[in-house]
Amino acid sequence: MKSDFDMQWHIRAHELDSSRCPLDGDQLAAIMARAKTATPSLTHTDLFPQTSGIRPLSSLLPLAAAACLALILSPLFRNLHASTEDQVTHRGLQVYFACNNSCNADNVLDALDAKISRT
Amino acid sequence: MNKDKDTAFAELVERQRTLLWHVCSDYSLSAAWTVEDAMQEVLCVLWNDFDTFQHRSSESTWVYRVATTTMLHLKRRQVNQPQGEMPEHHNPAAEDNENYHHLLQLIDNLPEQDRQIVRAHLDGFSQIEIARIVGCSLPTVTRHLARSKKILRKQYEQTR
Repeated sequence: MKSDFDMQWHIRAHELDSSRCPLDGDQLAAIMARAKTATPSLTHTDLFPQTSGIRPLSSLLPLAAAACLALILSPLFRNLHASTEDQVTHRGLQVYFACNNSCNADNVLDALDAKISRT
Repeated sequence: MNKDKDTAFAELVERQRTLLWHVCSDYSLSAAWTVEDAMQEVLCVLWNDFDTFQHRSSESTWVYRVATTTMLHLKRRQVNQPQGEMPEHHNPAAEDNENYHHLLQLIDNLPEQDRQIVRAHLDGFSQIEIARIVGCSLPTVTRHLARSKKILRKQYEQTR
């Protein structure tokens, strides 16, 4: 047996089938005429803000600019990376030699440079 | 003014007049405006958007979407304005049915998106069409519809 809620729900679900527009042709035409000349209080964007779909090209400009900048600066970063790596390796060698030879790590650099220049 | 557009628009309004009136009266529940005022506002938006209708959805879905969205915007503006009379529904089954009007009031008190989903469902739109009307995903429609009906049933039974 249907509950009272289900009965009311059912009536509401069929309301559109049984409803009618009480306006006669002249009344509807008058409303239509006023609507055509009235200034809309809502714009298309107000009603349907764009939340998905294809983005305008202009929205991709910041991304394109960032990509170009990264492309231009990448050699610089590569050099920076390389020089940092060299320094680290160099310093590592200094420490390694210093530890194994019980001497000052800073002096190892001079010793290495001297050895390299001799060879 | 473009005569073809005039004729096409008049034909569309004639075809959809029952749906338009129904939406306007439904969303004018406890509103400060008359159903005719709401109808004029919706027709104004439809007229200005008429050229953008690309027939991707059915005509009734598009009209329903514009009408309900316009009415929701009117409702938002209504805050702090005096409330009006209950609109006439022209539904013989609903006449002098206090329980029915109570259900309508409960639906009107739902959060905005839930209200739009429940009304579109009761007006016979499929869940896919409702997703287009409301602008959300199909699972969202399914979830909100089930939850709203459960809440409405509970509220109805508690107050009757």
